Amino acid sequence: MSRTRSIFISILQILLVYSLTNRVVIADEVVDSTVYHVQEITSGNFVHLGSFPPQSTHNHGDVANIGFIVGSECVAVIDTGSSLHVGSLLKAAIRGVTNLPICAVIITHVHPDHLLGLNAFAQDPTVAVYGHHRLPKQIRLRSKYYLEMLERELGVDHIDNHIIDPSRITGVDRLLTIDLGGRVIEIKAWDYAHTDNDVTVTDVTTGTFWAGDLVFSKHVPILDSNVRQYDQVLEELQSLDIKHYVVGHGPLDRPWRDLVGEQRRYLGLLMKEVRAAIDEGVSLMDAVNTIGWSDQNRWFNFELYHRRNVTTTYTDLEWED
Amino acid sequence: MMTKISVIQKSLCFITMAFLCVNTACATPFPEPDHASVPEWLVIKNLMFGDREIKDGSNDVLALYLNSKLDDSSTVPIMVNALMDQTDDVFIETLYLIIDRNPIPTAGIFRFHPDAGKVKLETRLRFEKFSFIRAIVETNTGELYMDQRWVQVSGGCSAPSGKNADDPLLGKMRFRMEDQLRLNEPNLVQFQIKHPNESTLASDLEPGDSARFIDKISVEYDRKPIMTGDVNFSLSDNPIFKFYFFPKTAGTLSVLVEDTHDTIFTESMEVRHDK
Repeated sequence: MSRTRSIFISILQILLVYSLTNRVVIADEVVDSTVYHVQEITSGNFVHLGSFPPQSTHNHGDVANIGFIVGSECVAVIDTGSSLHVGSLLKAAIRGVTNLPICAVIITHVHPDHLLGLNAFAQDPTVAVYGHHRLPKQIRLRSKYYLEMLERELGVDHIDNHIIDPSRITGVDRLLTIDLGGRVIEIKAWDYAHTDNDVTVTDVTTGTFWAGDLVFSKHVPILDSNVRQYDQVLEELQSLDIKHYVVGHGPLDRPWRDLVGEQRRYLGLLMKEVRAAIDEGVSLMDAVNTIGWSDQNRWFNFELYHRRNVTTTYTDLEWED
Repeated sequence: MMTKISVIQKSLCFITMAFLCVNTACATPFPEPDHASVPEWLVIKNLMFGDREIKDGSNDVLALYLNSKLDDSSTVPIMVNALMDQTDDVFIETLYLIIDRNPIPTAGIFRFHPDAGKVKLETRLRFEKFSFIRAIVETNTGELYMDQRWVQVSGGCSAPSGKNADDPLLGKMRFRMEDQLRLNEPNLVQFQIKHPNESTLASDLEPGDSARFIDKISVEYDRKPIMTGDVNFSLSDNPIFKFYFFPKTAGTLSVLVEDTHDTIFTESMEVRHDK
């Protein structure tokens, strides 16, 4: 196929998808189409694995692991993807599994790849939306910037549809349980960790733990809060006896404690080298280029996020007594 | 069990994706424009300097340093080094830091005393849009020299950091000196202060409230001025300032900081000479 024709077809297909917002185009025989998978990792727990590594040019912002839990009466959605498009794909996937109503959407934290598909679900007033008690404030603070990014990076041209109403969020202070009918899920709010507004979800029936972005798998961890407090949270998470889990990014195939341990090793390396740099008077400008780069080949997207992690660590630890 | 739904998901080949980013440099490459003809700069230049000539100072007057890869637009370290010594006859009086496309383009105006020894300034800045940053110095003889860099990060003023904004340590201050004090030569010192330095674009303010940011810093050694700065939220939160002072005897380094909520913070450090 010629390049021109290929581009023409992609544009047609994009128009088709976007002209059917909130309905998902289902077509089995599309040239070069990919498929939207959800897999049932434990009974009633369905996960869609986001494109990985995420900086692919071919993924529509489908980068986070998102999914849903099915009870006997209703369905809880956990994260909604980075756009209405992704949220709609997830909604269609739910309809491929069950016709039970969606009663709850849980947003694990404010980052756009988890949040901005929310309106695919939240337009229905019977759907309750849960998040950390600090989530509404973070939405107010960040959404303008995130929507501009959506427009710029994903080429979404009707960003107004993506505006999230912060008052739609029911804030979780510590722990909240929801009964989906024969199946109770627990939402737990954490303090400063990956962000200042992380919640995790546990399906009590199967013990499946939805970690959001508190834990990363193969993708370099991202610090958007306080590194020391994050490590304390990870220490607690590592002590949990978790057999089945979902993390926000990356494969789900390694034992839980190894996975969390690998992430703590990275944070430990960062903190150790940053403290030494501060002691030696190495400036932040130089530190981002020298600290922690021995870990470069262990993680995906290291080049994209590691410097920022050094900055976050340095600007915290330079205030240690 | 595996549910499979086929959908049209043809790639958007022309769109780059780095969507996890949080106020990071997640943008597509953008060619560096000609620094002299940026429209915003032409306006700023006219307002601040009228028709005065601004010479290229990058060979022998000043050097502006930034990392070539920047990932956090709310915390961009920069360094300005004077390439000329401060002498009684000719010295750098003022350093202007200008970010063409920030909400307040003048990120800082710093005045240096000739007794301060060498002129150097390290700090950290926010960048709201892709922009040039310009360091312009004005000498006591009234000449202007510039060095500039093109910066490709954005969102630094509108996306808040995830750091704890309710930090109880507001106003905590700290000096850092790298070496033992050396008399009669320039000594480097860093001053840092815990302050949210709120951007008017990012603050979650109630109506009637105004953003709280630092607007003034002044540094003295034994009550003689070293440096003063008129600044704003183009500086990162918890800002740092690294500069030279020139001690002839042991003495007291003191700093006074004011913010837009009329709070004054002061800190001083006894500088000893153990020899």
